[in-house]
Amino acid sequence: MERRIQWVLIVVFVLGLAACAAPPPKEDAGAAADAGAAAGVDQGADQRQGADLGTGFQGHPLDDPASPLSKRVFYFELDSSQLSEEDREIINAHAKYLAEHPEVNVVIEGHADERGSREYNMALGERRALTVRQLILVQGVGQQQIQYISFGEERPVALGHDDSAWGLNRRAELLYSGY
Amino acid sequence: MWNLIRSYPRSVLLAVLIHLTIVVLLTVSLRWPSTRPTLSNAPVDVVKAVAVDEAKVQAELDKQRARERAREQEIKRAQEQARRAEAERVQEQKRLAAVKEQRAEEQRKLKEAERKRQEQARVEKERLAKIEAENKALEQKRRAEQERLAALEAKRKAEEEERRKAEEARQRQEEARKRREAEEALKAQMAAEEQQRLADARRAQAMSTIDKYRVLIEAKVRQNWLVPPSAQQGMVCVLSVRLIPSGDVVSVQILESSGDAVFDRSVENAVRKASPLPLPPAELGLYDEFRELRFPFELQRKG
Amino acid sequence: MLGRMLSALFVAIVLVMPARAELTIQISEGVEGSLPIAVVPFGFEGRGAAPADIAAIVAADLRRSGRFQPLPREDMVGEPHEAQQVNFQSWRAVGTDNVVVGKLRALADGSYQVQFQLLDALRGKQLAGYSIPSRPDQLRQTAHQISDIIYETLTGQRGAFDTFIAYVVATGKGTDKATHRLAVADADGYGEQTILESTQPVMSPAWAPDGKRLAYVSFNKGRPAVYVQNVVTQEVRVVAEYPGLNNAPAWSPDGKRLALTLSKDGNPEIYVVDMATLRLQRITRHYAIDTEPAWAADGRELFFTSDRGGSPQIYRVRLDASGAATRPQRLTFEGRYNARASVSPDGKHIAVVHGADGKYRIAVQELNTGILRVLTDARLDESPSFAPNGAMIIYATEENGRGVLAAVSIDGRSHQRLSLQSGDVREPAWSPFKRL
Repeated sequence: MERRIQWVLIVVFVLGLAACAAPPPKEDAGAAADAGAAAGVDQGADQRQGADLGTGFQGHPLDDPASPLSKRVFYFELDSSQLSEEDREIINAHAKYLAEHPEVNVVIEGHADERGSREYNMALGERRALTVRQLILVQGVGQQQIQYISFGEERPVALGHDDSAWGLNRRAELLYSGY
Repeated sequence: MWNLIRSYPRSVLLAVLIHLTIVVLLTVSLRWPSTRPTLSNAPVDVVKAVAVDEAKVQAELDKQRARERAREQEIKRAQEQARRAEAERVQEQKRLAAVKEQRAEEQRKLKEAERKRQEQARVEKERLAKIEAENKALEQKRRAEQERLAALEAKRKAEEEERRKAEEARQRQEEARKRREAEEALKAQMAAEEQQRLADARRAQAMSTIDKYRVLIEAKVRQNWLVPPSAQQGMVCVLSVRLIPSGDVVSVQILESSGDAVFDRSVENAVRKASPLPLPPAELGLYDEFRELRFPFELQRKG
Repeated sequence: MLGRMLSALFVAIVLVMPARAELTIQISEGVEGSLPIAVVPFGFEGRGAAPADIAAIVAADLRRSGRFQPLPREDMVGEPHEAQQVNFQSWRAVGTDNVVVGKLRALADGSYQVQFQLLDALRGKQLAGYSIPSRPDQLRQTAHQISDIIYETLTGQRGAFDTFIAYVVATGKGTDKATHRLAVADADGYGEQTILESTQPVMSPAWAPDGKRLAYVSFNKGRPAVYVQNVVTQEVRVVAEYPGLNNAPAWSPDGKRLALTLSKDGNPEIYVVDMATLRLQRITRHYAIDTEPAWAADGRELFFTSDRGGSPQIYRVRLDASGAATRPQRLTFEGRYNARASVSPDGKHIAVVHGADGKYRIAVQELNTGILRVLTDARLDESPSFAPNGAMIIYATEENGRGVLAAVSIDGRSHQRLSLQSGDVREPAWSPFKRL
């Protein structure tokens, strides 16, 4: 009889402790749910690609004009190496692609417009290339896949001497190879 | 459990009782009040105390003696005061007496002084009378003298008159001469002043002409002075320049160098390029003023 | 009475006589302008036509300096070739202060004797006269030497006409036939020689103090590297090809070290390379961009561009005996952009690319006082380089959409355009004085 009481007491005690010490059960469940959802979305995107074009693009994803991977030039403000939100997302897409295809290499070119001194513009171009590179590396892409180079103001795409030409020259470019 | 109670009734009862007692004791003990000691506030009446203290008696006696002494002292004080008052009254009376004495004295002195004055007045009058008499005598003597002198004077005057007339005649002649001479001197002076005025006018014109040409020369040299880029504000170079009547520069000398050869040369060049310098027309005869010129070049403003 | 008359007359005469004093005329300003000079076409004693128009080269040199105003040939009042033939009065009449006359004589062995005299028209005397032997290919050089002598005699400053400039020419920009050429020419733009030609960009030429070697950056190997080339022997040597940037070489005044920009340690920093051992010494340590080093005249300080303050400005560090650097001190505070410092030969000024109100111009800052003066007035000026006599600055600018070279005097008063040939010309570097 004492044993029964003992057991009752033990049971009551243990239940009490359990009530205090148990972690909130909701989070765990939520995280698991999110991961599942993301995975679901990615797969959905891939599937969506095919779905949007109706027939689905029959070629290399890098050559698909509708894919975010087709955007390979990113522009900057004067003397700045900051990327816009949209550009970041597109670069993330590139990073993901590179992470999934370790045999593909990319060269990041950094450029500047012609204003100011030449050598400083070389450093500015490099800073822009490195900003893009950093964003890609963070996504888990191997260093050996990425090369970067700055051309400063030496390789403009627009030859004018006005704001529109300068805006087009302040850029970082992704050049793929090995696919 | 009930079997237990049936088999061991006494033990159970004992146990229960003990337990109850303990419980009761515990609960009851909790409610007993604390035993803190308290002070009583009952007052004690000292006056109604029966016991008589020797010390108290002694104290009473001391008090009485003290009161007596105090009374005695009081009396003494009163007596003292009375004596003092008396003494003061006596002194006052003495003072008053003294004052009366003084006044009496003063009056006596005044009367004395009066008498003396009156005496002196009488003496004075007598003296004055004597002097008057003397003066009258003197006066008479003077009048007599004056009459004698007047007579002499009259003689002299007559003589003088004669001389004067002679003199006047001479003087008239003299003055005539002087007037002539003065007139001539005045004429000469006026002529001199005229010349002076003319000279001044010429000079003034010369000065304004000199100034005018000075400005012209300065302008021409300034226009020809190419200031070198290395020149600093405040640089000074002083030239001495010799001209010939045509205005051409024949010699340039550096009196004070600026320390910068390029600046010095530019300054010399300025004067040479400005040659011939503008000079006033020869008729004015001012060439001498311009024969040797001094040019201090000081760069005050850099364009 | 006679005495009085005489005295009166005497007084009158004395009053009329004028007083004598030396007249002083104060001059306190003059006119700004260049010295008028006539460089008379030289006579030629030899067969055929003269091989070179020495007088034209000299006149062009003198005009380019901004300090002289050569008389146009049509205004000349004669063509003397020797001092005795010169009528100073008539030259003075056309407003000329100085006259240069000369003769070119062909010698039997095919070489030439160039004789000239510099005359002072105001004082009517000779200031300088020389006879210079010259090979046929040296005639332009001789003319520049004559310009140097005239310049130094009349301004007191050493002339920089007998010097070189190095620069980069880019042609076919934007096409697939783009070429980049590193070239060296006389300071007046003539006699260009190609040092290096490439399809890849070439940048940042820098003269060694001995005037015989050029450091530059070339993308020949697909990425920027710093090379040193001897312009006489054409010998080339790689100085830096680290990962990242290898850029902006600058020679120390003793020629033994090269300062440059490397980003191998993560971001652009200044390093000094010992030219004998190629050992590196790191000068800056900051996450910002540090580039474009330039040496002070005593070789103990380095100027450089850094944007550690938010935008590019000029900073200075002192190097101690071991070559280590003190904390950088900022020098420029005017304008939101100051970069690419170039140090004057006397070490008292730096020329910079100065950006303000959206325009990029050449400005000069006096190091003692910190006073900045903007010298140019276009909007895309860059790459300033001092002449070795410190009197002029050559720089790159844009005209009609094309890159051209221009020069400005240190006081900002005289400007020249040096348009050499087709293509975009940029990054001029003025050589040191020639060492004989």
